Amino acid sequence: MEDKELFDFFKSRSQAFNEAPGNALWTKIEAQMLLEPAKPLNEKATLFTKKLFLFIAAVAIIAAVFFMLSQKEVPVVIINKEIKTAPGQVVYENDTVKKKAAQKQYINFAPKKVEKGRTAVAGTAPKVIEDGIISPPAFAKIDSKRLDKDTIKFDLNTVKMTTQTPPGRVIVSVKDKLSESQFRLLTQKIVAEHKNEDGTLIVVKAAGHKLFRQIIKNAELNVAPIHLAIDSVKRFQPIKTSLQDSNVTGGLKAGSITFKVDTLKLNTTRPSKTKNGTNNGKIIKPKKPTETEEILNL
Amino acid sequence: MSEQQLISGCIRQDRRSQQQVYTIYGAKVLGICKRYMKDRERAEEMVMNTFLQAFGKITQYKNEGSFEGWILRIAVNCCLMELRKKTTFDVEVPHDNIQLPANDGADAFFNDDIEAMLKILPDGARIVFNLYAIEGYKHHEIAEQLGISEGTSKSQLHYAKEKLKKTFFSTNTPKTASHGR
Repeated sequence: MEDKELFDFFKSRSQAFNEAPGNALWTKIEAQMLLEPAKPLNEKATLFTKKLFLFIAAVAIIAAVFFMLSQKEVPVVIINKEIKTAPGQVVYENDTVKKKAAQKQYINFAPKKVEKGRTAVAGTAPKVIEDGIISPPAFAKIDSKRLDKDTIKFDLNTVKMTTQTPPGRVIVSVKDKLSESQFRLLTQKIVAEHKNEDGTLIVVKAAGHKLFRQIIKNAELNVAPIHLAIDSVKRFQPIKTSLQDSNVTGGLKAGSITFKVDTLKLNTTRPSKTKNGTNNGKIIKPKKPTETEEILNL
Repeated sequence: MSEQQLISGCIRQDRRSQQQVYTIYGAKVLGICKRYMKDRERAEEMVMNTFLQAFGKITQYKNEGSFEGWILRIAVNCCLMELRKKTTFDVEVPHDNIQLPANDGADAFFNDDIEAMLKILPDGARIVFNLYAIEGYKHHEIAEQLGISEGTSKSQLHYAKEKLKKTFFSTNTPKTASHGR
């Protein structure tokens, strides 16, 4: 038998397999179709709708992110009630200040602005308009740069600190947060207070600052980290001379001119750094006296 | 109801149209599934899958061929997908494995029951024979459909032909299974 005959034999009789499946099978198919949700007729349209929705959602998210970034402007912080009043100072009560959160502590610590006659800063005090209606206080913008300047006086007496005085040492722990300039002022003040305690180690601790250590040297010359420069002109002022008192014109007498050391006017300057960065604290010796001074000093 | 009306009804998910399609083409679909599947239960399961797929993807029918051909093609594909999971196609079928029935004059014995005749073939050979001899597929198409090589397809077909010939169409058919040794 040839292959073709074999194939024809089966092909011609393949209809013998056909058989009506029956209603039971249709019931199963119908039940299965009910279980499966009917798919949308136009899948392409559905896909396009989904893509469009995703695109719109993505654009909305990006826009929201940009909006949030652009609105990053500082939260409103109310800083007022922590400011204490002091004589001659203005109370910023119920002031609302736009300020960055990072600067809040600095502002809280800042001393009050002193103005003559205890007048409030313009726009900060409530105004009586008419019929007893009080308008809310205006915004008082506090400039952080302005705070750092000398226009606002830093009151060292209000700084919270504890002082320990073990033998040969003065240890000061500051509880308040200070700016760099305030810390520098405080250390200068403490050193000045203990300027006469020769050999005493001054230690100042404050949060956010390097530990300040300074040994008082040559107390009688009133030194420390502060350089002393004696003004050559106002170095001393003779109070009286025996020559002047006695109207002697014959010449100056050695040792006859006296002056008071206390009357020396000192200019204190900040310690300057040398090239290698070292300090500081070196004592600048007084200039050699001029010829006239030497003569007077005979 | 015309074929086009039936298709439109199926697109609208109309149950009556769908049932009509099932009634018209169900017999042929079941016939195909019975040829590929050995038992009736699995054949009916394939019929169900075929109609579910046809109704679910009715929008993909492009009116390019006959609607009947499209549904029967789905039926064949459903069967092949199922068989591909469970059928192992031996790369080479030795002739020694051909088992012969003990009866002469097979044509008369099986009384043209080709369903019973095909059942003597192993799964792989039966599928390839169905695809090649009855469906008209080429070897490369069979290889692509079943994920096998063309050589395997040819080998399986050769085995199926030889076994059917020797079993049912040979005048000197030996009665024992040790034929050819």
